[in-house]
Amino acid sequence: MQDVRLRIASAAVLSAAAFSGLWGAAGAFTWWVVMCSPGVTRGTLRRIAAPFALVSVFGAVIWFTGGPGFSYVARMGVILLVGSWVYDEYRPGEFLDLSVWLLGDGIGFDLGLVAEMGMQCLEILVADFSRIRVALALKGKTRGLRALVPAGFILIHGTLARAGDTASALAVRGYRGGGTLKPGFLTGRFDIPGFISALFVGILAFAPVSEFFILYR
Amino acid sequence: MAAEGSFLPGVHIVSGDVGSGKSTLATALAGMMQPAGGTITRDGIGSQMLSFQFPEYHITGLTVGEECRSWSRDPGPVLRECRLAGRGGVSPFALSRGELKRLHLACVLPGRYDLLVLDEPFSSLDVEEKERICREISVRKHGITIIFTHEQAIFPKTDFLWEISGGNLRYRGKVPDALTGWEHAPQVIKNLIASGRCPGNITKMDILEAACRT
Amino acid sequence: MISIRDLRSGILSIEDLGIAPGVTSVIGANGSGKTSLLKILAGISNPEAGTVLVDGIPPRDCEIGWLGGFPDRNLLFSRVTDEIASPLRFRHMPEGIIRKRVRDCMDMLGISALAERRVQELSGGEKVMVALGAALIAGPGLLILDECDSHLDISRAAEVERLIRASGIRYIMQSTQQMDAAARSDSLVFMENGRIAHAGTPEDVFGVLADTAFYPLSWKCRL
Repeated sequence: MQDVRLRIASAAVLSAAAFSGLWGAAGAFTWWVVMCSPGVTRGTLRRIAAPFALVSVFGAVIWFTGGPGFSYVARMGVILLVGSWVYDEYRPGEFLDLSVWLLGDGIGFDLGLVAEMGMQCLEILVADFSRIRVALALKGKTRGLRALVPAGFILIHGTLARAGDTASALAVRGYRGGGTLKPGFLTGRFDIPGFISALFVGILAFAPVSEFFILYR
Repeated sequence: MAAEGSFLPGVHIVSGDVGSGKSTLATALAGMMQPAGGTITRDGIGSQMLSFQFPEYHITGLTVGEECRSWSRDPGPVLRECRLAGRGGVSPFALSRGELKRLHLACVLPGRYDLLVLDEPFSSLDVEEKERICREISVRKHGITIIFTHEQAIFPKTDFLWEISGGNLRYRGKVPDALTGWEHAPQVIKNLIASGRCPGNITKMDILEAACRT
Repeated sequence: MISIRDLRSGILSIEDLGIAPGVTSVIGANGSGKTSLLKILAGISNPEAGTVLVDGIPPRDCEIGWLGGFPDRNLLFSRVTDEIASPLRFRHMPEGIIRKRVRDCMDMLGISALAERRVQELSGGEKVMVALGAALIAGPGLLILDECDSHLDISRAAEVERLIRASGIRYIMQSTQQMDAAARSDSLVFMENGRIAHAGTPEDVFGVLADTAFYPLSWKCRL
């Protein structure tokens, strides 16, 4: 879905639908299978594996304590799939465009700038982490806390150092708050139908459908 | 990045622009990453080490002294060598990047590795430190030392030259024969070759010796 | 003239330094105070005491271009055009003017082909060119480069040197560990322990440093 406005709106509706109950989750999952699954890669599945494992642990705890553990895992799993789809479809600068379109070139620009810097930071963290893992493996620290603790320190230290450099760059470039931007969006052929179908899933998840059918009988 | 070739015992310099793929290739050569295609064969490599451009990637100690010990080095002599005497108790993160790089190289270079890959070892060092590190590398007799660098002027005694250009790793040959085809050669070397005085190697002393020839 | 009087800040202690228009290189060992001085000149840090004026104006009131260490790791935006346009966007200039100036800047730097690219996909050298574009686009009177040539290979460094000289910027201050590049400057400052040990033309300063590692190799080879 090329248009980030429709993509984020679809994701919000589908996530709400999935969270509301198993039927909503089923609808959102069906939507994901039809609209997104052709684009799923091994990277996508690897990315959601760890959060899904965490969700499964919580679900197990809920189940053991007598709650709807399976429902929880199913619903959160669908939300993870939707979130992963949003991440995969991300194009550089989109969050800035979206934020300015929604909130203007004051607070909207500032929030978009934060999102942009966050995405940049994430990319650097991922690249750094892969190198740190190699460096630690060379010292015989490959698993568990022996690797995680130093890696954590290094990443935090690096992020704080870069934050100082970023602040310097912002100051010298004259940042005082807000900025001019004319957001631009591309709407693909299937974007609007995709969004409408997501809305439909949302309506079905929240509307009292059974009562509608009672009235119709 | 496409690469083909053999790294024999000795000191190899691989020159190329920042971000041309040197770090990725360095990681693959050190056996810490599988290439997307092809094979890397390590023959007679019992021990290996890779040093990254940013020394903080390697930090595991809570103090500078602990960091030395994590490399099986006695902190006393190491700290004296890198002018950090008396700072064994501080956090490695409290050091400047230049100080951390000095510490890191002082821990790594004495190691008798069959394969030592140095990714930008001169980064964050001043000219005096670069010359000192070059002297240390120049006396390495054991194993294969591969140095990935975009350094423009100060080099150790080098046996083999490679370049990364256009996404390809190209072998230029043994020094000094390789110097004539070296695209990333410092201007002073290019000038000397043009005047018929090819240096015997690329260290400062070799360049000065060639310049003094009549 | 950039004038520095009675400057005290951290290890920096500079009584009186005047910097004429042109390219000035600041050299010295690690920890000698080069980056601290450049950050004060850029207005990033405030000195604890003393005055720094660029043609009579404090740095924070001047248009300054800044290229810090490891510029390829400090880009703010994901799109190349947003990064270069950022100083103009922050000043709330009209979009039409911004687009034109970004186009002109990218043409000047020879990076127009990068316009639609994602910043993280660029090579290290290309990222430095983008950062340079962001530093130049607002037409600074003072451009400061903090050892950015140490991240460039010889050909890219020569290109950057040619571009900044052609930019016509009144003051260019750079710290560098490439002594051959420092030798091509209009003036040179050698720092030691936070103080100015020597300042003047490259001939003056390197004349005093003839027996040190700082003396340019290309000069030693001039026989």
